Amino acid sequence: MTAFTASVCRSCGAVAYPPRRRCRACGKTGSDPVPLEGKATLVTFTRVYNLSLAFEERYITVGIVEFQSGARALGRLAVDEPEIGMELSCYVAPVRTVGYETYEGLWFERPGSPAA
Amino acid sequence: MSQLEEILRPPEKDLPPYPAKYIVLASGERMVIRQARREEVPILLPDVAALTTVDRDYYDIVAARTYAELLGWLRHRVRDEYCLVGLVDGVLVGLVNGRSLSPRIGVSYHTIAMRRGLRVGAHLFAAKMEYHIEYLNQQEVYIVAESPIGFRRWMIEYGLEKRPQVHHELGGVMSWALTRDLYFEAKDRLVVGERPVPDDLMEKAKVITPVEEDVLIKQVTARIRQAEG
Amino acid sequence: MRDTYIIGVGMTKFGRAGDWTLIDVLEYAAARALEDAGLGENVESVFVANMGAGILNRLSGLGSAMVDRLCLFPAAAETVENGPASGGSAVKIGAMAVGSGAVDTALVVGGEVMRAVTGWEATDFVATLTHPEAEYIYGVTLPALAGMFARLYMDKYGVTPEHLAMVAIKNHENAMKNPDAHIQQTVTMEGLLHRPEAVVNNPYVAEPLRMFDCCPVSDGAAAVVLCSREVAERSGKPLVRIAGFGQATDTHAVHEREDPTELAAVRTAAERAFAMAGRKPADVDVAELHDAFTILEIAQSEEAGFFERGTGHIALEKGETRPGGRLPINVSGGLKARGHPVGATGVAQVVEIARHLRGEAGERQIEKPRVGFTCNFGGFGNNVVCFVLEREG
Ligand SMILES: [Zn+2]
Repeated sequence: MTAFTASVCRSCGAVAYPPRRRCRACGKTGSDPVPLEGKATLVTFTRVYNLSLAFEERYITVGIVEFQSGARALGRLAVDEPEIGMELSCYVAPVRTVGYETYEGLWFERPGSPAA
Repeated sequence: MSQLEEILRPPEKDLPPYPAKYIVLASGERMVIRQARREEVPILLPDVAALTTVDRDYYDIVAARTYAELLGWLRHRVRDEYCLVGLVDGVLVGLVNGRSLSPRIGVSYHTIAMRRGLRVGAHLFAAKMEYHIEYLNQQEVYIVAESPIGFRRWMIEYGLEKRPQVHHELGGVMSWALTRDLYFEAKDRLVVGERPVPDDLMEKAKVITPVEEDVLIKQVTARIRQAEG
Repeated sequence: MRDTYIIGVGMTKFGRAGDWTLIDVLEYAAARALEDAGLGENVESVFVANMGAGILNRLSGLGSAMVDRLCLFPAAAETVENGPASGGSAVKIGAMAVGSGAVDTALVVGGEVMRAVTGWEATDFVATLTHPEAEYIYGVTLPALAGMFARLYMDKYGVTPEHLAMVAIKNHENAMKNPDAHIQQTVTMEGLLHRPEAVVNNPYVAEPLRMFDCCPVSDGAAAVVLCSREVAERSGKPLVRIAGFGQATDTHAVHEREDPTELAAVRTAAERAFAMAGRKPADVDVAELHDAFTILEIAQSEEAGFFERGTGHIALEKGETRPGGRLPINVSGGLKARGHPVGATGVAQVVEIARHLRGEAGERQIEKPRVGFTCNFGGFGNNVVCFVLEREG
């Protein structure tokens, strides 16, 4: 379970992340929060170099995943050799510091990895 | 030599040679990297001097200091200094320098790219590290960065270690070190080139042709104002 | 809506502004376009396209600043910010202003001075257009979004790193004939990919994209003067008409798009522009696409309707997109080599096509084109503006 939530449309059940008040699928207003959790599948990924000054790493790996709920999200990958279609599990940890503010975000790892 | 001059000069020692190599650049041009001889310093100085007027990307500071270092080497006021030059068809495209502090420790001075956008500076800096670690057989190389480009490239790409206790010769700013381990870890992705240099290529690299000053300034600044003269 | 014509074009060389401020750069391009139009100071409306002045140059109110600098009082003026599509948006708004009959003349000038900050600060600045909570905080940059797109696209259609390099090689070569281009340097397949040196020559920026798959960070400005048919005819200039424009949007967060290999906003914007012009992709003689990344030139050439989906790279390989080919793309050098001062790009694309349609493109002139096309791609495809331009007479 993560502190990050998607939304489910009360009219048509479409899932959205980031959460939407007005549904992209049916145009109706009104949604309920639903946690982003469970297994996810890797849709695509990249190793990014030339990072902003907020990062001291030589590169980071980011990817887009699809949860079983249908919600998709972008997050950091704690996986050495990612492969499209691989199964991942999700946790929340710091992703970036801007000024004195540290932001938490979604991380993905192989299921069963010791969570960071 | 006068007795006084003998006192002022550091002891002469021949550093092991850096064997020349060549690198095929993104443009397809072949860049030879070879050691410059002390007597070639006067050929290098005018181009370095020209760059002292370019404040863009700290070229001025880097060039002013490099000028002093090269002059110091020429006139025997810096100990165990060396300079490697990058040449395309004999024309100077960049240079790096440094010195040997002790059998264990090397000091990196400066890196100047005279042509930009082809990673000439990255290749030359790598050659300098190669020289210290593989040919001078040193344990580590002290490095500082004056420009943000330098900092980003050297510190992040090589994963250098901090050496806050070291007073680098370039003004006491934060020192970093490339260790043998870091070097060999990074070597595959950062140090390239082939040896030996084919004779025809080496022949062209025998004499250093400096870059014309206006061409040089244009190359490093890419100023948009020049279009309309 | 009545027709809008382009009677003046001008731009700076793209590259580094040096001691020129953003206002200097904008002024230069605008003055050139006004001079070319021959209207004197009689321009009724001014639209300045820019993305980053507030962040990069600590400037705002560029529209007013431009009128003041050029003494165009009491012309109406505003600034148009629409990310990397700011230029296209400003030209579109200018065309709407003239087309509506509200004004007879409009100056549109787009510019950016990005080299005021370091390269990675510039990259971070552009990244501020990504979704703040779902993308930006993760360190996602535009190259990262392009890398994730490229990975899927290349897999799906058999596009190889060589195809990407072919875009770079072509556009760098094209830029050699464009005195306004930022990068004047040819590159080779050997040096970019096939030699062992390639790991240093052309390192990854966001896998599978490498350094030479990405446009440089540039300063520069471009401007056009738009007017009604009556004014255009009086000017005696070749008649270049904005035959159609189209704009479309897509989700802010890229991961929300159903098929992550589609650029739906490009397709819709192009369709709208062609529909308005009463033209079809096959009518186009010369095109400027938004190759901020090499993969985008290939993908946009398909989404805009020039090639079947999944075949853009084959057309490229056959040389169809080179000057002299069936549809020359990015004869200017594109963003890849002409450079990409973000606010200037959409205007510069229109300037390039107008020059070709007027027969004023110098050494790189395409032979007698009648119809040209531009695609200005904002965000990572979340806001796209396309134009169809035509030569009359
Ligand atoms: Zn719904």
